[in-house]
Amino acid sequence: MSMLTAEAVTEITQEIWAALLASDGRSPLLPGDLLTGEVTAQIHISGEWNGTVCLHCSRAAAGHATMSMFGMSEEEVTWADVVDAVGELVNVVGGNIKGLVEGPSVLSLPTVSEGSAAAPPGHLELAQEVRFSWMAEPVVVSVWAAPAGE
Amino acid sequence: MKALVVDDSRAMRTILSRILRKAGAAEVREAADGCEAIACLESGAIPDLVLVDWNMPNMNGLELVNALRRRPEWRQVTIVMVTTESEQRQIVRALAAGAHEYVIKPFEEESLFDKLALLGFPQASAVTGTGSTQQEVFSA
Repeated sequence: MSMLTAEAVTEITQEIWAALLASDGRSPLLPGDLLTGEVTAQIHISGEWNGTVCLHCSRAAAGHATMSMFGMSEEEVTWADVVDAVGELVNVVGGNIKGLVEGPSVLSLPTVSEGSAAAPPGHLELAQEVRFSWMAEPVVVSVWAAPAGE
Repeated sequence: MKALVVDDSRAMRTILSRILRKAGAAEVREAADGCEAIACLESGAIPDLVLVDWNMPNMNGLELVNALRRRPEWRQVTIVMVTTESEQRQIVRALAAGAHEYVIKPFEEESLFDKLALLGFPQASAVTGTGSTQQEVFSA
């Protein structure tokens, strides 16, 4: 658990954004304090450490990510494309966070839903939350941990 | 070079296919899981290179590597795992099963070009013309 710091989550997320979405360096993921958005992606980590990694962002940020990944125009983007793009982002973020937690574990397949109400199961506790601004849109990564012994 | 990208994420397949075409691949096919990949190979479309994700439904990447290595006619295919699985034991398992390289997402495009060049796909190195300093890549 000790490696699961806000700095580590920030570094992982910024690295992924740079590699997958902003290789030209023109649209970096910056620290921010904007409100969470309308698209939520989740992925679960199970093993010695159990928890959930969530990626919340605005519909606009999800759209930008989708256009960047698929090389699409705004008019071409469908919800299915958004699910694929944001699902892959949380998959890569979750996979890297999995590398920070103790012991062997497995990653679930990602899920993506509309609305920030798609919160992780109630018994999980917030371990880290990092807020970013990307293209003036909110992006939030949160890591939720099961209580010790679960 | 003929390549097959196996990943359940359409977004990642798109990104990897784009990179492979940039690296000089004449043909890039895509499969959403190991079962689709096997069907593709059984149809006679045997690629020179397969990029394989680990976590996929139906048949995961490790199972696919094992399946590829079991069939003599597919043993010449170069396999690169491209995955978020970063645990040392997983890397060892993949390389022991027969993957030639192991690349952890996220990765820099240039590092993949360099690795492909080292694996005998020289067009890839021509894209950048220089060696990169990628750290998250492991070799068999």
